[in-house]
Amino acid sequence: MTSDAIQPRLKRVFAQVLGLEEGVISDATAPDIAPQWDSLAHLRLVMAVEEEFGISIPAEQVMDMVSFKIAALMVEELAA
Amino acid sequence: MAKVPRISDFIVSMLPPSLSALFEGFDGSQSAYSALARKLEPALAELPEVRVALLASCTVEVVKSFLLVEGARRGLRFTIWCGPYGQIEQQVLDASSEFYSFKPDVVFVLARLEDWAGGELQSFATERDALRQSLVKRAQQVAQALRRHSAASLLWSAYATPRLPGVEGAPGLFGAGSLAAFATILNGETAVAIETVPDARLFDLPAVVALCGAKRWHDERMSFLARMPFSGEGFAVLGASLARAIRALRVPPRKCLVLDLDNTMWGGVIGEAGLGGVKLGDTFPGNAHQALQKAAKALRSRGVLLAIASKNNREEALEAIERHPDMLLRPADFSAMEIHWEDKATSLRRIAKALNIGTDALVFVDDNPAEREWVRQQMPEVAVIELPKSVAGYAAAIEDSEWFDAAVVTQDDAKRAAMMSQQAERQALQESSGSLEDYLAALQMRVQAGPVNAETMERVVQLLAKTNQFNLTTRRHSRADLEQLLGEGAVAVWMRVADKFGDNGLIGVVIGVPEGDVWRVDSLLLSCRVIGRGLETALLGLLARQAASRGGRVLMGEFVPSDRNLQTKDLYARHGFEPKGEDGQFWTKALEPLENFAIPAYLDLSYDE
Repeated sequence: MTSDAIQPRLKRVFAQVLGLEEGVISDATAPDIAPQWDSLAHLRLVMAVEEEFGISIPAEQVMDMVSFKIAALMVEELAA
Repeated sequence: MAKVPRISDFIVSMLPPSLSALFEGFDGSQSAYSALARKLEPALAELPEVRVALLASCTVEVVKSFLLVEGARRGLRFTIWCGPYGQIEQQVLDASSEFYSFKPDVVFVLARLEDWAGGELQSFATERDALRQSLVKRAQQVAQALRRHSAASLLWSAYATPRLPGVEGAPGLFGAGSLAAFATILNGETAVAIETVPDARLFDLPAVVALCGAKRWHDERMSFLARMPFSGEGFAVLGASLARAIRALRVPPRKCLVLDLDNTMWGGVIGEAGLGGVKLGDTFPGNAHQALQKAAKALRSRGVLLAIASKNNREEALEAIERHPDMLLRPADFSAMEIHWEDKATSLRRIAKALNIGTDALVFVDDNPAEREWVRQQMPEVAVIELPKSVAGYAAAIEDSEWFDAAVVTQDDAKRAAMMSQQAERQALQESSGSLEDYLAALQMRVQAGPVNAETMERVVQLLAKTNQFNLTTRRHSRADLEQLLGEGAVAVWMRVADKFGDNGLIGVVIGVPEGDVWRVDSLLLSCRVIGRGLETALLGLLARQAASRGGRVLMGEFVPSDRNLQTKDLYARHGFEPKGEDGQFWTKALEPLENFAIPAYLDLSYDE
């Protein structure tokens, strides 16, 4: 899946789960600058991203999804 | 994408418009639940609050947003507190815990066998009977501890068969020693043990797992990473199922199911196809229509009233209901029938009136979308079940609508439908009878009466305790009071009545107390379901005869007003008593001649000495 196809859908999921406006979400969105992104929100985010794109992020990578940019790269790789 | 099994969207449309608007565009995805929960939380103030505490042996906090949305969908505002994982007993046993300071109304407990007995179950060498008994006891002790400190309803999750790889010889075989058999027997025993505690019961977690699909329910990754063993989809299904169960605890079921006939109760149109042409029987689609009837019949046996609202020629439709060999429901099963060409909102209003229930107690089932829409517009308080396109799904749609969910079903509920349909038949008879006298005669009432004795005492005291409307003095004599009065020479007479539609049971009491040769009517009462049949006249007549035979010369009536019994204030005036004093409390009438205390001729009365 191309990055262009992923970006808007991923932004919507992030916005919905974190309670942010889509406009403020950028590659740099990460737990240290978005206080809503706590450990529980992280689990929600992972599951919601998986549902949206029909993918499963391996256990080893679940905790590595520490920014919007990394999430987009993971989806790009996993969504055939 | 995973779709969460959900209640009909029309329950959402019954929310205040400002709330139902928030559900617009909601697609059931996990991220949409998160977003909607955030929007709903500050907007639910006008819904009734239920404080829900969650305690689990694993991490379940993710369920909160699903639960909040699913509660709001059902018209409830859930305030949710989630305890730290693995602290079920610590929180419940400690009266000063955070759990109790939350003041829950409903407590949901999810103890997984993997967490509570994973080690012991790991080997077949374990003494499983002893393990089972200790698990039953552990649940019961938590329930008892909860009840010592709180009145909250308890929902204890039944145990899903644990996933312990390698333990089962052959998964798929339900052997007597299998984990599946262990969990099944454990659940039966736990259900019995936990219901010994008031307002405590099991929550059917295995059904939630099945609804989701076990493969999609478990998430090993999250289990290892975060002690969160269920998938996001699993949590969504859990949230919906739990909200449904909590609603059943808090909201009483609707009282009446109103069914259409053509293409609902049977396939085809009776007016065109005729008795032999409608589809009903054991092949499709007749069997699907029969399944709908079966569901309705089951509801009736639980006390839900059935009614018909159909646009048809009455005789033709009635003939089909009476005579079609494959009808499972017959005229006697229906408490009200509106079969004519008037509009259905009018029919529904008449049904509610005939059954003496509110229109907000009705659930309407009709295959015709136009009729459903009409009723929805005209009577927004009526629950309209949105039927699927195929009749194959009709019966399930009634169940899935949740309108008849009832946490407790009593024997009285089961009898109610029978008594109510008798009541409706009486009303129909009244409408067809000319005068009141004709109606009362047509009821063919058989009255039995006699002196209160050991056999009738309990019911008489119960009537004294709870009768409000037709009760002249509202004296709540206890059994001891009444026994003392009788010991001092008073007379108490009970009355039962049956009519052509059924037995009404013991429904009347009169108590006379001698004060010299004046007999004071200390109590006179009738159950409200038999008011207006002249039975009070019979009670006075019976007491007069008893008093006269014991040397009484005057009967003295007494009326003590309450906020409920004003309809009886002119009872003694109607029966030819003279007021004694200004306040209308005491009234007298000479017992001689006794013909002045005639018993209505339409009553077939027998008195057991």
